[in-house]
Amino acid sequence: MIQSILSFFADGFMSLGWQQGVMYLIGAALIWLAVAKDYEPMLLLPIGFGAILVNLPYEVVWQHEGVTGALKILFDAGILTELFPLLIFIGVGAMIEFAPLFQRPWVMLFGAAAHLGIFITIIVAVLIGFDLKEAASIGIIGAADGPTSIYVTTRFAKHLMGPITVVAYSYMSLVPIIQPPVVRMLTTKRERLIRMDAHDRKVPKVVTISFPIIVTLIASILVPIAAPLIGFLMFGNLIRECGVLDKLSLTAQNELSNIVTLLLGITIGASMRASDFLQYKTLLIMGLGLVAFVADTASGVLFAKFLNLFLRKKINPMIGACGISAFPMASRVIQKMAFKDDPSNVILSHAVSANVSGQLGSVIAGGIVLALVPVLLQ
Amino acid sequence: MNTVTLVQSLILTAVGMIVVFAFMGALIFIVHFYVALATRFFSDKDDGDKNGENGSNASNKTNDAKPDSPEQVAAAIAAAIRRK
Repeated sequence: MIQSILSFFADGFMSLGWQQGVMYLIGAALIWLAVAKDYEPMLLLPIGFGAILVNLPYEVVWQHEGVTGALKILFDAGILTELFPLLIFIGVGAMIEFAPLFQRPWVMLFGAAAHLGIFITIIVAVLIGFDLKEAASIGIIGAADGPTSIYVTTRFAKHLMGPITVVAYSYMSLVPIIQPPVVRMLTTKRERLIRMDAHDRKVPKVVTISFPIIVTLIASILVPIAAPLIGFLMFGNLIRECGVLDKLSLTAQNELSNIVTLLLGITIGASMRASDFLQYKTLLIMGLGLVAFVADTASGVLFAKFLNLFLRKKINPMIGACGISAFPMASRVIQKMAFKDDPSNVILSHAVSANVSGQLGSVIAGGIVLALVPVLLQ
Repeated sequence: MNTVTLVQSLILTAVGMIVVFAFMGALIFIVHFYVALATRFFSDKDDGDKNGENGSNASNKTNDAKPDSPEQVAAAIAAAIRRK
């Protein structure tokens, strides 16, 4: 009798291995980054705790003795169905204001150019040995857009969900560290001193209201598979811009986003089981994530320099680095760099415009990858 | 490394970037002319009543201020960076 009771309590210890210990450390490290360093705390803290939970003895929160655990139910219902990222897109859409794009639509070119990093990373991942679906999921880290990364990975490489999500959110929070050296390396001080004139005009309400509808139509006709991504994003934006649904807009920006982010984080963490996460592939994905962010920044800056070859009034090439989706971090970093060289040089209006276009570009790039990979594999 | 996969990834890159640029190009074109046309024909008459706010739909609104726009965020960030 006593032996049975002791054995009952000992079973938990006996079922633990070094892998679980490592995962507890990784989970604790993510929580530390969130709390002490303020790196994407809303995501990294739930992910860290989810990683600890799922590696507890017998993985009871996932599945045990035929009983499906709470986190697996959430994973199946929210991630596999792609519901969580789409709901987050409603909140993101409600937070974005596209007005800066209407002031200077040409900056949308940077929102396209900076996404070359996604495709460069896909090529590098293929060269390393990943298959095309895995490489596409890894490349999307370069979108600097968490929900798009999760959405694409759900379709193409569910087994890499944990590492890709953790890497995507970690590097997004490291934009202030990653971008400046790349920009400095690719630009001269003279180029960084270029001033940009900003003459903002008033845009009629009809434009801001109809813009999400127009974008949804164009994107969904051009890349039909992107319809859920762009549709939910633009629905959130329409709620914001219509001017008669302020309560819904605020709910989407706050309550909806917060609740789904909470569930998404802990559910993603639950996909970090030791057997899936502790592989050499995770280290490769960390390296490739860095490649993606560096290539994004470099392609944006180089594209701006390329345009300068043909323009009489030169563009400050640092603005190209803002074509990624990390808003407003990228534009803040670039303005800070501009102030460093010349405390009176304000390029923030253009940087913000490019940054907003990057948010749009990342969703389109995700949709294109989703559409083309299955076609290429046929 | 699989050569076929590499070729596929190169095709994906070429087609992907063409489509991204085509989309953004189309959007630049549309936004440019649409804003010009809308400014000419639909300019907002009165900012104070721009949302058509009246008693009939006031129940669906809150007293909370609308979150800062990117331009406001930008201005705030610039000011904060300068202060440092």
